[in-house]
Amino acid sequence: MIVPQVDNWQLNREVEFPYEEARPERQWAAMFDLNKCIECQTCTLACKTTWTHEEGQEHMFWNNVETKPYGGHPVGWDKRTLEDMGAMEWDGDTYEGDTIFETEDVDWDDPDTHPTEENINDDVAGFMPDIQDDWRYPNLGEDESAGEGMEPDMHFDDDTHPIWFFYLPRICNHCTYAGCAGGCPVQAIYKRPEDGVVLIDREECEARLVCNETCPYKKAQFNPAENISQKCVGCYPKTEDGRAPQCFETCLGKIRLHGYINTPEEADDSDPMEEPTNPMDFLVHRKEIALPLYPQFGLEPNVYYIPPTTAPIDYLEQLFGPGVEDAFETYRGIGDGDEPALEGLLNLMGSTEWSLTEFEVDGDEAIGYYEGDEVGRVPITEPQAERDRVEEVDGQEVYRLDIT
Amino acid sequence: MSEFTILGGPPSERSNRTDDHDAEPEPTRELPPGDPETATARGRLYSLLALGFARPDDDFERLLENGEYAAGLVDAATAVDGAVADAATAVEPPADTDQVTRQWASLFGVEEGRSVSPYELTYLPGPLLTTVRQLADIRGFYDAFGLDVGEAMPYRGDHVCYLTEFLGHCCLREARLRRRGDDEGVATVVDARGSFLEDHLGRWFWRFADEVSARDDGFYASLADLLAALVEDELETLSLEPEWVPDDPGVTEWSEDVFGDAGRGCGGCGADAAGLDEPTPGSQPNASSGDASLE
Repeated sequence: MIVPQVDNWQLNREVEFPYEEARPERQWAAMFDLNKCIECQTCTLACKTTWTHEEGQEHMFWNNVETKPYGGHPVGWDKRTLEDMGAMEWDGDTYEGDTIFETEDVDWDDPDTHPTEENINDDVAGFMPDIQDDWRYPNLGEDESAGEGMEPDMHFDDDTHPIWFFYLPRICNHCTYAGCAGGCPVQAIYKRPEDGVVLIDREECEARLVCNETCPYKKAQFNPAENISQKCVGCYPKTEDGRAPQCFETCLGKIRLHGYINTPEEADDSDPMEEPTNPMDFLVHRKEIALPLYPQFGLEPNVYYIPPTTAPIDYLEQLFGPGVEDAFETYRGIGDGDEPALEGLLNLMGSTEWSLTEFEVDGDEAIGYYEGDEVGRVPITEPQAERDRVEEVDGQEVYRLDIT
Repeated sequence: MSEFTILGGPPSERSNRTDDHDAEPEPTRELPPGDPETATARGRLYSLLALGFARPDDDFERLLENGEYAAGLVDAATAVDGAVADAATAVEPPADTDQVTRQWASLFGVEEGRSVSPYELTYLPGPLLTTVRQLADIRGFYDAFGLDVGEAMPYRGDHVCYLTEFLGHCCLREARLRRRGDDEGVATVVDARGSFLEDHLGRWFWRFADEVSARDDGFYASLADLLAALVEDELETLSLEPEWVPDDPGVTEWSEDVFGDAGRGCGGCGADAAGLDEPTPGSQPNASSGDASLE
């Protein structure tokens, strides 16, 4: 008998998971605006030089940026798991397909049932990346476009472009129902109660590699030099002090926001035009503009993305679930001046090296806070210099303006 | 359903899991050999060496001129060890103190294109991507003792004058703790000094001394020899075995195996050494799964 076990609000239903539902005091969360990522890989290098530059970590990118639809690190990570999962159907906001822990119809309520290295292939959807071949091409498919052939006189009228690609930055999602932790046969992976960051206990890790397989995002990675698996630590030494992680702080495109998210029931529903409001709750629950990556995996990932408006809706729905069109509409509203609070929040992103726990709009400024302290203040509309018309200034000044 | 929950502290620290391991009692630490006077002398000697390897300023030139610097070295070294004392006696500042400034600039200064690096990272094997971690380790030692690199001294944290100053600080702390009778404190601070020597200065001091001697035959060569004599004495006293850096710190790359047959030359395009004839695996969009496909 299959018994639903844990509540997954992203799928609007209960899902199966090997362990009881247990949520941290607050949940580490992030939002990436994919419309702004230029794949400069500064985040990747910031992480690499901080965490994974030693022998045995050559293949590791706790943060990577890949081109979609053709790129992926490790090779085909998402496509291969999706194929294993079969049809993925949504009925409105409710996911009716199987998650990775449901695909194989394993009874997780049976105390003897737990993923082990012997039966993992039969229990959970997914695959084990090959350490030689699958990790070798971090830039596979980079800048390769999908869609129609390019014609010399083409121009794009619609929001969705007939020729498209976009960049997808990926880190550990610090999932509420972490696949790596659910799979670990020696229970060496845990979520910190204070912030929900998922960590591998290096003392307990026995290098069974099951987490490498049961994390569908492939963010638990084996270190052959140390003979343990390792993963993104959410830069917890920084976030404990209120600082945003390395890949956030160094982001040139200012596409990243770090904060903490609540469940929809406990979400902060205050109005940022009136009082300080939780920015992650505002983006994800109130405005529903930021969406989880592959929610159908069933792990309740905690990195949220504003989808790129130039890519086809059906492809994006496969990545981000059924909320894509609504997210686009809200996103366009920012450009039309209908969403001053959202515009202010997006302007605050990258304006500070601190995590944001609250933000508000005060007049024509957006203000960011970390636990009550102001850490960022930006104008909602960038000031623009207005210059006199050419006929109103003398020739010398026109020349000076032209060359500056 | 397992009673385990994924929420919680590190499993290795959870109480119900400690039964699995044979808990070994914390070994009692022995008091390292030494006395407060020798520790003070070592501390002074390290501090004077730190002063000597920093860019000379007016105060330092005055100390050289009136002989206090050389006398201080000999005085401190005599209390440490015979070989160290001999090396200290050999340090003779030049009569013209301006020459010291010029020689420092020529050896270690940027203005004449430094010929001897006073920085640890230069001597370590491997590319900067890996050696930079040692810089963090060094700063971690400073931080653990409540120290930081002062703004007035614009060197990187792995400069030899900071390393020696830190070691001097550890020795002076040791002396103070010994006088107080704090055996645990003495063991901790001597252990830290030993680790710092073993992981950092003890690995490359001999190459630094060689490099200085190859380019100078005066004050700085004798000062580098004194540093080498002191560190050698320390390694022997504390029974340390640092992993010495190679003679040539040429950049060695990491394991090449991870890049496979294609080698490092081609890591990104997916083609192997044989060419592009075979289709690249995974080069299809996520089109074949579920309803929401591209097709």
